[in-house]
Amino acid sequence: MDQSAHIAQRHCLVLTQYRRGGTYNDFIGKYYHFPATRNRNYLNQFRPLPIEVVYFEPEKDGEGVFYGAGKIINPPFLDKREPDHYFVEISDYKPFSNPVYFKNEKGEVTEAKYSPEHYNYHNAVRKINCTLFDELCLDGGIELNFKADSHLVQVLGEQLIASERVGILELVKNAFDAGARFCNVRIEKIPDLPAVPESLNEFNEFAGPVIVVEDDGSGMTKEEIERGWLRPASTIKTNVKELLRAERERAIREGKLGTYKKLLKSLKTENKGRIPLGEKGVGRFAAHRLGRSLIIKTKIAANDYEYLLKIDWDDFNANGSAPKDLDAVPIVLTRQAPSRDYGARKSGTQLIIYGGRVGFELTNNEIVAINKTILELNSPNPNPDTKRPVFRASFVCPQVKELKQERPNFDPVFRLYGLVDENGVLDFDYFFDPPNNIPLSSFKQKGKRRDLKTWESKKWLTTISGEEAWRRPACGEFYIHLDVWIRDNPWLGNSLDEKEFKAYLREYGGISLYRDQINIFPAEWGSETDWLGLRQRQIQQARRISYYHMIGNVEIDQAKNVDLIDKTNREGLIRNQAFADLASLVKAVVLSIIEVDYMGKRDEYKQLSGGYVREARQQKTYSKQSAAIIANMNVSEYDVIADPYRFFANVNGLGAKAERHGKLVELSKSLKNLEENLKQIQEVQDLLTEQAGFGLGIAVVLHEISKTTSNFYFSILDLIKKKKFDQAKLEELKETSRALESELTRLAPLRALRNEPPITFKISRSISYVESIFRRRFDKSRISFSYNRDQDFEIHAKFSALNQILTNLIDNAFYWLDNPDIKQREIRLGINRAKRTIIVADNGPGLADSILPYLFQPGYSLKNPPSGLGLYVSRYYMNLMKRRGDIYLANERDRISDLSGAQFVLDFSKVAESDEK
Amino acid sequence: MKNKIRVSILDDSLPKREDAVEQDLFRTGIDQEELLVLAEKGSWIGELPLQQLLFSLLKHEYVRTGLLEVVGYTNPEQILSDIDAHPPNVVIYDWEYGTHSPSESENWLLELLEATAQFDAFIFVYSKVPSKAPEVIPAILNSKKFDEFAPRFQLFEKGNSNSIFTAEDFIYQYILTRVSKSNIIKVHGIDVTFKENGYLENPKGIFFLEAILGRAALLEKLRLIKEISNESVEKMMEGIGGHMLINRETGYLIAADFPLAGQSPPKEEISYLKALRDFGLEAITEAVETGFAKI
Repeated sequence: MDQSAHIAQRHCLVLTQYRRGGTYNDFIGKYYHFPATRNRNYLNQFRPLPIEVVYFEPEKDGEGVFYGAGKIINPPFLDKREPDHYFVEISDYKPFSNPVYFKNEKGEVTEAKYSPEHYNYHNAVRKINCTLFDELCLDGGIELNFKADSHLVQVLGEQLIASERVGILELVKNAFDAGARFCNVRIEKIPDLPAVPESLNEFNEFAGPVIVVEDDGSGMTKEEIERGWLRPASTIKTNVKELLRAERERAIREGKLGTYKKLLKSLKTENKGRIPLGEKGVGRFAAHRLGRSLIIKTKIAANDYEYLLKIDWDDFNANGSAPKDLDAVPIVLTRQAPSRDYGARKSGTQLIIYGGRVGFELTNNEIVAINKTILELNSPNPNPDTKRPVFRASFVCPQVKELKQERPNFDPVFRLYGLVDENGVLDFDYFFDPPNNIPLSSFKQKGKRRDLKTWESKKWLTTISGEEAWRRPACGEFYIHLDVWIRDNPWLGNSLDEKEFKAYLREYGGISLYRDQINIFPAEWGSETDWLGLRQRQIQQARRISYYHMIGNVEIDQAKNVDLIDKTNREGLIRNQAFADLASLVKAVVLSIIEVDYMGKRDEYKQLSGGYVREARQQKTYSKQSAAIIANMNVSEYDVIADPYRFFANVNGLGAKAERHGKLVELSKSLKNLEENLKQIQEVQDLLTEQAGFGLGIAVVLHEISKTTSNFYFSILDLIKKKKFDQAKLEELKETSRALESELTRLAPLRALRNEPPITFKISRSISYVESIFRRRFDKSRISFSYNRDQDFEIHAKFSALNQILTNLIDNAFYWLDNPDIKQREIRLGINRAKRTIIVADNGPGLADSILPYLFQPGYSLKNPPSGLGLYVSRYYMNLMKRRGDIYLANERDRISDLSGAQFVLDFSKVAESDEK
Repeated sequence: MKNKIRVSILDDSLPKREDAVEQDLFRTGIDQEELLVLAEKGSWIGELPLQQLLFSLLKHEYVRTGLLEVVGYTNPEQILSDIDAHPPNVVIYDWEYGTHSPSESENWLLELLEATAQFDAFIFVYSKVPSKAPEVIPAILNSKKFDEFAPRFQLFEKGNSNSIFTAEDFIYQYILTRVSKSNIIKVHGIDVTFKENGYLENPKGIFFLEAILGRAALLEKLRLIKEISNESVEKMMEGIGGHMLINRETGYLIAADFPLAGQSPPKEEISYLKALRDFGLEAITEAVETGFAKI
């Protein structure tokens, strides 16, 4: 369709008016005065409306120029002083920056040439064709301005505010910014929900739904209403953050953080101890999104009356095709006696939003969600060291019964809280407190310290002046509190409460982000986008931790985390370096500290409660012992038929008493068979362990593959069902298939040692071989490597097995030494011929307590990504050596005293020295 | 004129004989005399194809005459450390090392490709994985970071004999060809003269013929013809009954039995020989394998 069809037909006039010397020149750009006498009547020229006009000054007593343009929207009105004369109002007048002479370069009168159909020099008011009108304006350099259309209000309200929930949250945040101690939100008269008796409503006079947000903040002054509230995106709040950011950068640059802190303090004093949360100055348009009408009652302490501002948002809708300017919609501000008790502070603001909005109806679920949002607005576990004025938000909706008044609460199994400083180092307290029905002992670790950067150190390492150094996290310092549950029965049982809590965790579990104790990033947003990558890991391995095992809060501070910025639609934070760094550090807390224990304690309980021994090797021993006991009993003098000690009571399988001897022989034989069977099982298990690599049993890998494949399958089914390509789903599928690939790769026939015959060799040969493999990396990372060859001894074993064990230990040491804080890096092997041991030691940070209980169990690693053999398989290879070797953590007595890091003992005391054949 | 070639064999399954360990043999590159001892006396259970390859190379007269040098390593770190002292022309790169992860194998391979670029070394990625997890290594090697090195490496499955060449046969042929530009290649025991021709750049192109003709048919023809040349390749194509289809408008060569062949008329029939002459072996192979090929 032709664009011009949208615009009504234009009418353009020339108005003759001298700029000096006349009676009416004071009115230029405001009113035009004209006769309507019998001889000269211009009245008809001023209809129809609207009209665009250009002012012309004749050459006779002036300069012969067109000098400005404007609009006529309203009809002329009579001049009461001068009969037969009229005024017409000019609006939107813009003077020309370069007045345009009425003749062109050839001396032709432009109107006569280009608008001959209307041109008559004697007419002071005359039509002009629109093209010429536009050209005059362009040649005159008409000065234009941006004009806000009244439609902007709708755009801001509906498009910047993502949902009703976000809208209400914005208004509550405004209350926080106003220094309020409380903010009560009330919603009533929702048309689509069952009505309640009128007596339960407080705002019956308004059309439903009615949303009332009231606080005891400082209220708004007349100036704040005019220059702040009524100016969309006014910079009153934004300026604060910009100022902070700039000042902070300057202070860091000049090394004067003290000055910055002083500024911060004065800012907080001005704002009742807070830095304003609002960022774009658009939160107020949430009110538009929530209802068709708005009443604001606001009172400052100094006044004994309240201001009253009424807005009918429908007034902002344009009539017909004519655009309507935002500032053309009148809004009346009056005052009245206080309509409510403003309490001790004598100030506050009340917003009454009513009338609802088509397409944004409030439902029961939405009310529950709003309740939850408000309930969780405040941090559940704020940093105890931060003192801030109390702010509480509450919510009432008489039509929805049983709205929760507090979040569900179950004692967590793990609790961790602490402060991550500007360098990414966490100071924390950490507790394990199992429920009473779990027979594991609790622990309390206080005052622990962990450099979170070491978890994914590659992300944080940088080069400064040729030296390797840590990069400082861009997110700034933050406080973290994490509560973690194990969802399995009986850690969390199946009572109604527990089920409900599990459902809550499934839906809302995760880590919320609180800025100045106000929720700006609810946990479920992070879980939906998998901001820590936990879900993906759990898809790959079900035993890992995910969002629905935890409720946590990260507390940031406007002043210290200036680079964490809200998205414009208020649904999350902008994905910048600061956010990425924050996510990395939070992830490090979850994975490097809690997940290890989460998996470990769960496994420990399973082992305890399973009632069976999983290791075939141990089972074999038990069956062997049982067989021996029964055989011994059978040949002993014990009277198995009379059975005086009732050993065989209730053992029905033994048949009649007379048959007992025979049956016991059979049982003994069966147990021996069982022993044989178990031996075979053990061999298979050994083979699988050997094949699996990475310290994971092949069964685990297969389990993960089957899980991944089924995820893949169902995702494909889902896509086929939907019959459309969903980008997010496809991304997920891509990830899943990558996970599958990675699992499959683990099945690769890793170089099994099975075929390698054992030989007799000096252990120094293996050490020297492994040194050759690491030499390049040692040189590059300036790690000194040494061992005492003078204590060398021989063993009879598979050469490659020891090579792999040593490679693994040195690889671990290497990983922990790759830290710029460690200037002198050393790995030392201590050989002890008398004890037949090798101690592998380094001067790294040592082993974290959290990993200690699981050091030799499959699937545990503090390295990220997990690499190398895993201590589990190392131990397995040691055990496999003839007459059994072992690996364990060096005790204090055995440690190499001048090295602070992890120390492992490879114990060959029982391993054959030579071929025993 | 013959070239002098150094081949580096990188495989941690080289047998760990007691005397070799005692001599610290595995600390650095293992020279060809020592490798021969390992090949002859070591325990090669599970690694017979590699042993056979080593034997064939080490016993070849080129080794005796100094045209071929073979060095063994048991870890990629060693060859990377030794690369300046002993720059290789061909590397046989075992993908699996002890219990290292695929990403480590990948990084090592990348580093090796970069380090050997100046010698234009060719790297055989040699692995037991492909047939068991067919998507894994190809997926890695087809990733973008390997693109620039694509002409310098090739994946082969250890001991795979499901093809006209075993991996070891191929590697062996390749090495000998690099030394001598010899035109005799061995295909399943048949000596075939490889003559310079317009259809196959090098003996590797025989895989195209295998894909089109089938392994048994190709072997039968090679037994009779005993040479690969323009004439023999054309003769082989001529001998194939039936025809292919061509859609000149859309520019596709289509296999006649491709189930969707009926969907994009107009088409004309074209003999295999004509297709060979017009579009080459690669296009025919692609059409035979996938149903159609853009020409």
